[in-house]
Amino acid sequence: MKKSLLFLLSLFAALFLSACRGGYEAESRYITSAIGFDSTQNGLFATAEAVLAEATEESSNTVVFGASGTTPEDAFKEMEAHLPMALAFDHCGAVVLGDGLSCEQISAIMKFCRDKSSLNLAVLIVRAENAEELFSCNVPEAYCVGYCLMGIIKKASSLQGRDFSNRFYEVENRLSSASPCEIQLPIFNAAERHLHFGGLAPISEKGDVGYAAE
Amino acid sequence: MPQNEKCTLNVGAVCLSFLLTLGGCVILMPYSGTATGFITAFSASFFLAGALFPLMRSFKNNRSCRCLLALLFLLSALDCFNTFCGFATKNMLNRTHYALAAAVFALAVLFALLGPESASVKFSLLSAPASAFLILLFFLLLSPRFKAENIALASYGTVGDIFVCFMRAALPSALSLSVYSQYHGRCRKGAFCGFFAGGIFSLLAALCVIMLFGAAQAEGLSYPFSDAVSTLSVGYLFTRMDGIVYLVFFACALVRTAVLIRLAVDLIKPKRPRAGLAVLTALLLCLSIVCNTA
Repeated sequence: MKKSLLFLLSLFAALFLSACRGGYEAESRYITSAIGFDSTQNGLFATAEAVLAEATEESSNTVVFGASGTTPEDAFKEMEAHLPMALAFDHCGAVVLGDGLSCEQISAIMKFCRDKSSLNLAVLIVRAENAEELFSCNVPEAYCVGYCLMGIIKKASSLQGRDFSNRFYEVENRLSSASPCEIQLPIFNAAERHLHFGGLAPISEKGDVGYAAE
Repeated sequence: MPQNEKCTLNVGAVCLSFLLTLGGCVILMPYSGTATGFITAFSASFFLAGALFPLMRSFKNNRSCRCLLALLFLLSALDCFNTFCGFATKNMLNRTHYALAAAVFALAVLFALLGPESASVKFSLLSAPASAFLILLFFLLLSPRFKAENIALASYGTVGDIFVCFMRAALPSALSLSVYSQYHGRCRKGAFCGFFAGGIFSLLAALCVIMLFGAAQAEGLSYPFSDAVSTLSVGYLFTRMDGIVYLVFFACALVRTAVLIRLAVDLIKPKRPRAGLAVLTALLLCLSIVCNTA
């Protein structure tokens, strides 16, 4: 009886090995919903949209950070150096590639995503004229651009009956037979801070977010 | 077993050998990123296991053969122990020291070994159907995203790939099940059925990885099946379903490590088997910590 109890207890203890990846308190990290990259004269400008765990009525529930660097790693190192908390990439939904990025820069961004083990392999890769501008778009209250990008892609995919094959691992596979500049990715538009893609835009729908034709 | 006694299928033995076989494959496979290599290695091990069954009786009486087999089982147990603890530290507890995760797992293995054998069988009876169900479920959920071109026929894998798969996954499972049925089972039908089912489900998980990521990308991933399942999301709330697959890995690794240590002790035949089990588990823990922290 005593042995069986000890056996069960040890199993129970070992089950604690099964937890979220590197568990942390939501208040101790900036949870990124999307990251973006734009080309600059000296290298890259990285942007990260983060969801705030403790949003107040007066403040927005998201915040956008930016920093420059010669490589994606440098840019994020620079960004985190000025933040009181680290960035968490576990729930990042999209990576936005700005126009003007060179083939080498896109390759470096893909490598950065590959090396970032906390970034999900199914993160969506999309394009926009300017990633920083895209993150400043207006979206329904209590929502963020990063997850709107995911929602619009999903909706467009079901409406058009096609798979955009723009998950990170799918793009990686396509890169094995094509140059990074040749890869076709969904292009989002952010004219006048109005987010849209394929005729779809995010709208408020019964306290939630929906995606409808403009 | 007397010749005239009818051999009945023991469900406990099926579940135990199923987890033992799966434990050697599911965390790291498809090893080389080739489905063909995996299929070849597994088929070869079936033939080898079949050939070794009649020879196993004579092995039992040969001390050097017993020692050699015991060494192989201990190395396989160490491999499985290292794999699971490495996975636990890297993917689940990234701020925990390897030694701590290894000590917790060693404790679970020790209790599985020192506790009554029926407890391990009961654990297998619960875990094996659950593991099989989860693998099948993940396969079905991921199947809409499978790309036929990913199962590139050109990626046959080298002889080296097949050798690695054979030595790490198939051979220790086949040999240990041969020995297990000699020492613990009166009927080897259960062990063989479990081995066969374990092979099928390992293959299913390997195909899932290859058809999702492609052979080349799968090769670069540390824990391909977990990574494949991590791309699954159900609705907006349940993302990264790999949290569930950890339990499959834990059950498989626990059963495989415990059975391999027990068989090694059976083969060496120490005067105090319980002390032998404890010493070998402690040795495995020390070796694993040295290998991973040195």
